[in-house]
Amino acid sequence: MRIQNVGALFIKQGKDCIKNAPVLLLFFIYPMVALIMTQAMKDQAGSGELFISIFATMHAVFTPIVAASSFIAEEREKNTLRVLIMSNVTLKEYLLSVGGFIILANLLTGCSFLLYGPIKSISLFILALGAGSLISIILGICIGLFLKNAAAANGIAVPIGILFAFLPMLANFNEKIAAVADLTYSGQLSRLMAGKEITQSGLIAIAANLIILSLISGLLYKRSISEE
Amino acid sequence: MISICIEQLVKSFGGKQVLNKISLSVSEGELFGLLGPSGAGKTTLIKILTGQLSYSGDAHILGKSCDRLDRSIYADIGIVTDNSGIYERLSCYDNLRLFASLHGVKKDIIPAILTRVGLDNKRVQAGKLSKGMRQRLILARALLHNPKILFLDEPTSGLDPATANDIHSLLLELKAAGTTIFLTTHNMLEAHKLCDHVALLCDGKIVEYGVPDELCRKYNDKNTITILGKDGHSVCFYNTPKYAAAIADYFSRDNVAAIHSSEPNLETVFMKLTGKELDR
Repeated sequence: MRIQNVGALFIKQGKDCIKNAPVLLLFFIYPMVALIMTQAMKDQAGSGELFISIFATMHAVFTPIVAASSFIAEEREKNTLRVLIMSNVTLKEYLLSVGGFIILANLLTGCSFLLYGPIKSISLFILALGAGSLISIILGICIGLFLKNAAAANGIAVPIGILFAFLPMLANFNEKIAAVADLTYSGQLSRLMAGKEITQSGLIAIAANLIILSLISGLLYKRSISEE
Repeated sequence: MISICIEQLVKSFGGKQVLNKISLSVSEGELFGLLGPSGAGKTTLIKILTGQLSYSGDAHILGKSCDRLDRSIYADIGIVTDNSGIYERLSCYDNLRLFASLHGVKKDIIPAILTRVGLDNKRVQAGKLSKGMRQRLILARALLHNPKILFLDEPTSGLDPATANDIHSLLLELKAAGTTIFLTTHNMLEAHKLCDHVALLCDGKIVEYGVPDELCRKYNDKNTITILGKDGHSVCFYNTPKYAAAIADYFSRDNVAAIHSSEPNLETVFMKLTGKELDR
């Protein structure tokens, strides 16, 4: 692993993302919606915390899935990933730079939620934001490595992102959905963001999600190495 | 010293044999041309030589077997293919800056490289470049780390003559500086103008190999000389001592407007050997 390569790709990712309006908007959309909603409903007690936890979960889940899959699939579609590999870059270095950039961008923009209203535990909130971003990036990497073009990757990443991001919100209205949401990392992280305690079964659910996605991404990684 | 050496190389996709017992070698500092129509196997051979595809037989590049190339080889080779991607949202300069960092090259050389390939506006977004300019950017990227071998897959395909000519001049400069160049093309004029040696590839087989001029002479079956007189008429002689006096007579009478030998060009040689035309 060459840190110089990761650094160069990280800087490239940043410059590229600034000019990639649809992906750039992703990093700001949920913080902006949360700001509007908390300001519009600030007279109603408890609504601020609810909106912050709902939209912060969406930010931690939806944005990294779509951003990671979009970045990787576009590189494969335009053949730039192959050019990178033939310029002494390993797939590991590339994925680390993409993941690192998305986590940093997501944490920085996600910290704006802290300004919108009371949050019970700031450290737990940031931990949940970081963990959610990390697992979502792995999911996004799976989609990006599985599909070879950006349009197809977005076609899959958006519904999957919506599914994981909206489940915790829908869980508030239906017990059956809540039972399903409890099995997902987004459901558990949403509880953390709302300042609720996380149970042992919740931790197991997060770990299981992480392990399953890591295994899938590992398999796709091996396949991609031979392809690229 | 031999830069590229291939012996009895075979490559199949599914049941179809794409390269069939290819043997050739390219010396250090040579500009070698692999000529053939689309689908002949030219790009496949470049992919094999750069470690992107498996094969059977022997293939070595800079003394290393192509089926066991490690990452260090990428410091010694540059590749220009028609589907080499560029970062379209980044400027030309930022595109090169990324690859300069990856190759451990100082960014100070980027403006000089851009000027060398004729890309003076380094701040222009790569996605807004024309096809010719894009090809120049890809070439600049391949030259950044001063590679020992440069692989060029149809570098002037679809380009206007002026741009193609600029690229030809640059390739000759690189050759003069000692870079080994492996060029694939279906443009026989380009190959004749640039290459030290050419191999004609058809249906996965090398049908002829040699120096372009020598190949043309070898297949000069007509072996005739045509003289176009100043009075407008033309006359054709066999190129043998028997007609030397008659030819000299035209010159002594100052009646020669033009003189042509019947040597075929590489395209005619290719057609003669394969019965097939090259793509335009």
